[in-house]
Amino acid sequence: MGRAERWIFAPESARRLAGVRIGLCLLLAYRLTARDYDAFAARHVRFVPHFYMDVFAHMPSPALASELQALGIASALLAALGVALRITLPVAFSCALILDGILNSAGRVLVRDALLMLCVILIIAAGRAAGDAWAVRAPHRTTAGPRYGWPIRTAMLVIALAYFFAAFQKWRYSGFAWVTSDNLRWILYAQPHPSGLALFVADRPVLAHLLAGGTLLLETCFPLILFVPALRWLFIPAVVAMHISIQIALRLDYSAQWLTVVIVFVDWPRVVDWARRTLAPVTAPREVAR
Amino acid sequence: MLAAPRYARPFVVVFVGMLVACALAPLNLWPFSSWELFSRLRDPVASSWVAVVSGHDLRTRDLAVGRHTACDPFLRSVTERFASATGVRIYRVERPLSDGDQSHRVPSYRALVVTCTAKGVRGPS
Repeated sequence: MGRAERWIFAPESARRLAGVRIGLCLLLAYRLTARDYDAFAARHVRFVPHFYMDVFAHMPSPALASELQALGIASALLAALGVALRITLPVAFSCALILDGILNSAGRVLVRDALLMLCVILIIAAGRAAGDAWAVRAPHRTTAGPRYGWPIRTAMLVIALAYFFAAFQKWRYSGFAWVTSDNLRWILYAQPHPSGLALFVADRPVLAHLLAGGTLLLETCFPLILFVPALRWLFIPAVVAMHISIQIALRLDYSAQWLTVVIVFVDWPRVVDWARRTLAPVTAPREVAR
Repeated sequence: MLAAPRYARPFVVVFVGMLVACALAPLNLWPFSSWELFSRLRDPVASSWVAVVSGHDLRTRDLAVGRHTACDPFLRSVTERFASATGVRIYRVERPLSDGDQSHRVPSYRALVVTCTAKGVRGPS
């Protein structure tokens, strides 16, 4: 327990937390712009309130959905800039929560943005620390400490657990038959209009078993990246590839999930420093006049 | 080195505890998901549920619904949208999947699950 606590509360730099804040806020703004919530609210007659959406007696009106969308996008962009974080971040999160609630209250709960929202909660919980660097009117602190480490490391733990539990539920409800049966083939065939990739895999039982086995292995072992950082170079590209393949084959958009993984695990200050070194103009040595 | 705030430790315990509890229970307290997507085995039949709205002066309409759609709130939202709606019949639609061989195609069929009216809920007779 002490070891886990030391790992979560290890120091990180203010710039790294700021990088995660900027990435998650820009992703949240993108997710809010990418969907037509008012049309969705207008189209869906039935309202099956999911969890907190019980506060609404019926599907929120298209006008309310549009207003929340505009407010959410503006707040998320301001939060990315580090402006009034204690207001803009919770406002952006609340707008996204209601708008996701609209999508989730039409009979099917969508996992897609859940990981992004969980990580945004952690940035809100970080308080002022999230705006100590790379922010408009910020003190531009270059300090480090557990104050900046715990939100990032808790986000890493949450992501690792999310993938692990996705595997855990497969073991729990299906066991090894998830790999050995024709389960994946039927998932791919079950679509009304299967894509070329879906049919390519579904028509080849051995390939379908291999992909199912790889998915289960990847999700089960994903928490190892917390203990063996070198595995991040293997596991993170693998989950990105898995989600992009799912998007092509099943038309399920998990971009919010894999982009959250990339945003949280990439060491952004190191990337920025590397980019500065690489892109900075090299000054040619001058000849000194004698 | 700047220390973590005092609330950080209990917050992390509650937050991670919620995540684990929702997965184990399983509970879908979004965004705390149960992460159950695609966890159950599929068979060669794709099931879906449709609601057929009936009423005076109303053309029959099919609406896609979820498996666990509750009668009362659904009927309420339907009558809000279509004032002349008098009832809703929910069917399970079973579509046998083709393994790519067009000669194996079998037509889908419907089975009545429940009838929802203002007078109450009726199962299939």
